Amino acid sequence: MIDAAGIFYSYGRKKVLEDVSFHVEKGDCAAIAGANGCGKSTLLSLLAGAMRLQKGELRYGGQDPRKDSRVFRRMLGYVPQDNPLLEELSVRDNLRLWYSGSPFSMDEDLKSGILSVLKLEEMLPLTVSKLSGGMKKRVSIGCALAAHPPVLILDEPSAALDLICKEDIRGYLQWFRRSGGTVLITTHEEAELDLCSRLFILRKGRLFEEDPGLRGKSLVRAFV
Amino acid sequence: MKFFWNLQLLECKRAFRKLPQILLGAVVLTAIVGAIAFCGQRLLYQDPVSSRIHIAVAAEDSSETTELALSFLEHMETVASLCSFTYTNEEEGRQMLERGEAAALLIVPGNMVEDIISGANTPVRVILSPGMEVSSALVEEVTSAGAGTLGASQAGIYAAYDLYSRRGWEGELQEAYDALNQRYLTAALSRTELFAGETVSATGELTVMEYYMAAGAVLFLLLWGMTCGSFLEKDSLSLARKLRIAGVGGGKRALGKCLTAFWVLTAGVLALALLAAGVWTAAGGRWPGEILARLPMLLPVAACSCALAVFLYQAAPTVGSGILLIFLVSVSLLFLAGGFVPSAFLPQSFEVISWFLPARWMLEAAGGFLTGEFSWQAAGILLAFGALFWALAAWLAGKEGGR
Repeated sequence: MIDAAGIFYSYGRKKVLEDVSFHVEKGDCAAIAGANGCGKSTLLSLLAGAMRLQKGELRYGGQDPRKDSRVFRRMLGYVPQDNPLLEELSVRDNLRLWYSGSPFSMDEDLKSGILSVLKLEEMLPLTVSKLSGGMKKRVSIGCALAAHPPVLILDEPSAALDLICKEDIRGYLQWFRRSGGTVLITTHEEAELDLCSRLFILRKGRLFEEDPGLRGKSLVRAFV
Repeated sequence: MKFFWNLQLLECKRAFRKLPQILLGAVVLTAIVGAIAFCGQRLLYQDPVSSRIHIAVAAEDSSETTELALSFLEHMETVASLCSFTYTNEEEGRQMLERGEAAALLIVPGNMVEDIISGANTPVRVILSPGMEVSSALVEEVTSAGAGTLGASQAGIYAAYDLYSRRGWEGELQEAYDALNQRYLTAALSRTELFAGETVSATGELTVMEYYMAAGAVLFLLLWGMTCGSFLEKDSLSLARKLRIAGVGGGKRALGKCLTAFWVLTAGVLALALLAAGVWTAAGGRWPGEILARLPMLLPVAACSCALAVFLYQAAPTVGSGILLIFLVSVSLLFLAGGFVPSAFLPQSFEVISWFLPARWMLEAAGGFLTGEFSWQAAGILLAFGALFWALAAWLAGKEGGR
């Protein structure tokens, strides 16, 4: 489903990613972990097409997004760490924007699709700036899934959320996987790691696959 | 493109929700701009009467011819524009000098006019005030010029007398005196007749009122961006990246913000103009349809100022710093372009610099709006500046997003 090979990225002279390669199958839930500042968010931004690859190859379902940038829009939903919402507008306006670039119906999804799972209907008239952090994250996930992409990329989705919100997000991810979706997630949460079938550690600009059951001190040691 | 236009629609919705606050801000701006224009006008064009030099005049006799001569002197163009006379006696005049109430005391001798006619030329004594160097120097200059004019006139008369007497043309002497007197009196009483008339104004073809109205309009349009921070601020990194994935990169995003700012500015200015026209008409004035019909002449100014505001918000790290940046840049641009003080009063280098500043062309376009003469050159240059600011904003937006 996702093939990455020889991905390289540097900020000026500072090399962040060097020769990152991995393969993720359809239906996998792959976690990318690592110490703070090791380049996890940069890697996800490159995979999502939000930043331009400096070197390397990337394919989604065998398609090269560098040849056709619409592949990114069709194949994946991206939820960045900070909520990418227009704060002064309502939830309905934000969803409508992202559905305007999608062939799917917002009303249908509110009735029986992902938006009903995320329980967004009651929030529709509310202004985004007045929502809690957990509610905004639900709206962000709803916006990311407007085009019904087969791949969902999330950058630390539970950061700064309370326990109930974290549990909700785990529920949505499980639902997405059960629906046949592929998830790529960066996280520091052990509970989220429990959902994952694959675990990658980003260390000194390179990606290493580890045992997905790695926890506690063993996991921390893997970061170094 | 459907996504882009939907984004535009939502941006406009977001901006128009803020319109009441923006209009309130615009009214405050109008008050500030009005105050600046008023102060500038007062500073530059003070009442000249308040700066006249006071001179005490003490005549030793009060003959009719002396009074007539002093009256002539007082009303001479060069004297009247500089000095005001107070008639007194010598003792009171000296006290006025000591109190600083007069810059000079003229003591006019008895039979002054008769002595001039006879050629005795008893001098007028001029006593200057020691405490008023500048005013006294001016008085000295004016009295020296007067004495010089009188001396030249007398020399002319004597020369004519000698010449006509030696040639035996005594019969034509009176005619020569009349011609010379006419010439000298014309030169002394109304010197402007000696020169070709040409009016030079620091404000160019505009009147002072029009000039400051144009400068006020430009400052208003430049500062308008300060009220639009809520929707012109740069996007969060996460939103910028999401939009880029959706096909809206730095260029399109900057264009979208410029368009939103332009719609809001156009709508706001139109609303304020109609409101002002309504108030004017209600107060008994005639409906200013002609001026309202000229509003489209300001569109290039609006387009350029919107692009500048988008660029400055993109360059500033926060909304607050963006607002400050717009204020500083707008005031500096307008000052350098001669919007506060006409460039005729500024160093020559400012005039050269102003050709490369959008504010100079904004002033020209706004002046054209007031006089009804549209400047295609100014409009073209302003649109080129707008494109430049858009390109810079697009570059910054693209750079910010990580490309």
